[in-house]
Amino acid sequence: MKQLFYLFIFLSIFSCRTDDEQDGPVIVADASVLILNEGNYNFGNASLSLYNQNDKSIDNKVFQSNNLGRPIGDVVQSAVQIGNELFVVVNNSSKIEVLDASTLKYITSIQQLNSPRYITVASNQKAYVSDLYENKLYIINPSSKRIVKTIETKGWVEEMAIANNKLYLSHVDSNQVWVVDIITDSILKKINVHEQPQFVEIDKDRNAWIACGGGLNGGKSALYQIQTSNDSILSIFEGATVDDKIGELGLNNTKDQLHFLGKDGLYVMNISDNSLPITPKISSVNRLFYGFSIDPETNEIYISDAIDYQQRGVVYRFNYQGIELDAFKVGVIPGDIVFLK
Amino acid sequence: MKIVGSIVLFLMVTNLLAQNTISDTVKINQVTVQGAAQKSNQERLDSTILSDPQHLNLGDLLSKKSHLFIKSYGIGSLATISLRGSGSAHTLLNWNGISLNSSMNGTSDLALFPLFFMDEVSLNYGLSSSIDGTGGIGGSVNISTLPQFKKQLNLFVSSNFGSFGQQQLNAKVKIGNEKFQSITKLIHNKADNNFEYIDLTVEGFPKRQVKNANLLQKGVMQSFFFKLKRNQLVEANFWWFDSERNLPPLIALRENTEFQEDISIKSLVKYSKYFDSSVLKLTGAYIDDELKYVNQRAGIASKAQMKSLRTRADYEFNFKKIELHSQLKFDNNKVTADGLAKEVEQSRLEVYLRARHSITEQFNVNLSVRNFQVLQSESYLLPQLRFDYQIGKSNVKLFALAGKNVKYPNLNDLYYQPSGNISLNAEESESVEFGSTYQMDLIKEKFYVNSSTTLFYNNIENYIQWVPTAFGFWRPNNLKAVETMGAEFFVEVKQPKGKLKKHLSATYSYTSSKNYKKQHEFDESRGKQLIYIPEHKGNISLNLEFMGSAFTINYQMLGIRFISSDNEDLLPSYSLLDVGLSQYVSINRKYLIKVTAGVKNVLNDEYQAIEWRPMPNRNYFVQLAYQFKK
Repeated sequence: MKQLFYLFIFLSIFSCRTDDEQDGPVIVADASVLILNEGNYNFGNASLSLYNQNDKSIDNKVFQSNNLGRPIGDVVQSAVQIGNELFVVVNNSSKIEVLDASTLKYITSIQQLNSPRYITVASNQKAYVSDLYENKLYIINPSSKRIVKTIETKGWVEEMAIANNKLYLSHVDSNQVWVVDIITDSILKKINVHEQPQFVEIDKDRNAWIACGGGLNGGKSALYQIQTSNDSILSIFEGATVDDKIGELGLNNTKDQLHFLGKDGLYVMNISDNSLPITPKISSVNRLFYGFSIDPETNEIYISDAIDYQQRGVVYRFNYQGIELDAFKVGVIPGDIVFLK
Repeated sequence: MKIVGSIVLFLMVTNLLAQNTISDTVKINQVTVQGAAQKSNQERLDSTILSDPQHLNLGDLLSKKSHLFIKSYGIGSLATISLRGSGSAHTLLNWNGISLNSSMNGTSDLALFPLFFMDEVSLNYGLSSSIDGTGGIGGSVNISTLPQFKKQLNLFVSSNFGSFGQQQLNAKVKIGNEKFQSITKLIHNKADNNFEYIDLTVEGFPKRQVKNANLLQKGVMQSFFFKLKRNQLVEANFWWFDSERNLPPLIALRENTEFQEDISIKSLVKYSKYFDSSVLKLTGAYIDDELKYVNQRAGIASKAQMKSLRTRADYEFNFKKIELHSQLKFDNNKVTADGLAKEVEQSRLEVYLRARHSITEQFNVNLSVRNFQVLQSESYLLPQLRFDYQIGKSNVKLFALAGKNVKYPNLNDLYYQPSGNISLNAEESESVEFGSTYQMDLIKEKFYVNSSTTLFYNNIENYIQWVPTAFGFWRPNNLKAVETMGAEFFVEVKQPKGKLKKHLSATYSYTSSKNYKKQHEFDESRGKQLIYIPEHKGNISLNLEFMGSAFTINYQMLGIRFISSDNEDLLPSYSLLDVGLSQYVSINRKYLIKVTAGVKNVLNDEYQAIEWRPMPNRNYFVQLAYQFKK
């Protein structure tokens, strides 16, 4: 009763929707896609949208619907599914919300983080969490939901990926890629790259791809290919001009074609190519691409668009050839897209 | 990736925290309720209103007594102005005719302008703000320091205690004669602002207390006024204000030590010479604002220094039957900040000429033109035409005006690293206004009714908005085109004489502020109200005075505010009821002691002015004031 009373207060005093909210919890169907709506920094308006691939329906604010109306927090950055649990990183709320992946109901949360960004899973007992401010990499135990260890990083760490029992992390502040032994958690190597390394993917040949944004001082973007067997740099692809930015990365399900967000849309290249693509696979003319993901089952491409960053954004769905299939409205500033297993 | 730089941006666009100051003027002989004087699209709030301790600060005062919407981030927090549906950088805050808006972000945080420093606050809505310069697309708030040339020694001390650890101490000394006046004001203000709220963002909905919201503010203001000759006045004003504020996090965010200090030193000198049929005024001000920001969690310790020389010369004279007002303004602004690669500088020159001609006794015409020039950059010609008409011998006056205004991008918009956009266009507005005022003596010289009505329309092109990018930084762009229109009503009934003095006033404003530029095929913001601009705002206040006692009641209503540009999400409307009671005792007309007590948010409403920023429930204050007058 007490919770219902507070829910009443919540609805009458705090933010409302102008349209009718769905009553009761949303059922999470098979083949669901979760869109992480970052929301505006310091607005507390982050949300989760659930897209049903079977009937093409969309439920926005699914976290609120399934969790007594409470909001998820400030800036939902990323999420990973570990078994039947979904670990959602809520960046500016300094927490990871752990949800039941089949109901999206709250199980627990991992608090006392600083400004968490991404999770990379080594095993059911070990995952790495990067952080913007903490100067540390957290190691959590996904089973116990506890922080078990930290690694000093002395700076901002963004995306990470694992190959050959090594963690490749993008260390933004030092313009380096750090290589960490995931058995001993010792730092094996620091590889100098262009300014602002942020995104990491591992291709079918176990090579790591790192996208560098070029920094905040007008540097050029660059894409690095690192051979993880010996941690040597195989290739460096530099943007032709300062405006040729290289943003988020993604691979198809056979992991032989690399996609990235650039200034005119979504670009694709074969991992064996010797140069960057010139024209985008999917153009962003009259659109503002913000993030994307490729469905590991179907290879369909989902691209998020924040429009004016103050309204509900949109997600476009394309087939792998880049033909638009449909588009649906989601929450404010849609970023990452997660395919529930 | 997308929040990089947004902390600094957040600071840039939202300086933080408000202080709680109490103005002082306590009338000894008779307390007259003068209140708000309404003259077409202008409004004046005199010391009687400013001195009411019910108004915690300038933002609190203006939200009750004007059509302004104050976007408050909470008690003791940031308060920015929105007027006629425009943005926070579209309202000028002038001090004795000199703009105090930040050259970095164009806004003015009302938290840094204590009421106690002001003898009068006046508002110019819309185009009427352009008498003092460009940029006030919404209008202007003008604060003034005023002398009274008479032989006097006037000491005033007040202390205020309120809920949440609020303590304010104000002192003022006025000394002088018919030729010289000195006014010294001191303020010391501290507050914990640690009120309780229900946290509806976490499991179990616990009660929490606002943390890290305390503030300490100190200030000195010194004004000298010399009458050189009968027709010449020199004034020198000095303003020092140091505000140290901890910044509370959003509801449910991790505790953090976030701190902001603003140190402001303002000096202003003014020379006025009154000829037989003309007036010359020369004003010069040097403003040195320093902002320090520390965010322990983010490991940020940054500093910004803004230095501005702002000058104006006004000459008003008659040419035949035409009243002319000419003005020359020159501003030079320099900024050094961690977000800027080097010191940036911008100089602005404005030339203004206004001609006013009374075609008949009832009908006059104003034509003005202002040329605004950013040195080594663009210039803008801004004409304005105004008609005033009095219907016969009645007390009904009508006015109509139309004109242009411009708001040039701020230094952050242009030069902030890495994303300042030097190709930004200035925001340009075209406006029309119509209005009427009505005055009537219900009982001659005893019982008055005043009212005013204004309708306005404003078209703002190249509306600037900062948006994040997919590459880790924010960037300003001329994203929107905004059309604002609305209506403002004011009515007051007052009986200023007699044993029981009464004053009832009410304001209501309707504001439509909509984007009409579709940027994108899925953009649903076209035709929708801008975020955090209420369509409806109203206020009713009643003041009764009887034999040294005064009772004030104020009821403020604010309509829904949309919080997404597609108007899918909103914050509900709310209303606030405040009451105050005061009693003064006068001894030999020399000494006066006044006690005021009040309750704010009497109905104990839970509300949020900004989403996820808690606001206080019912709270209390008491003020003790002492005055010696010789």
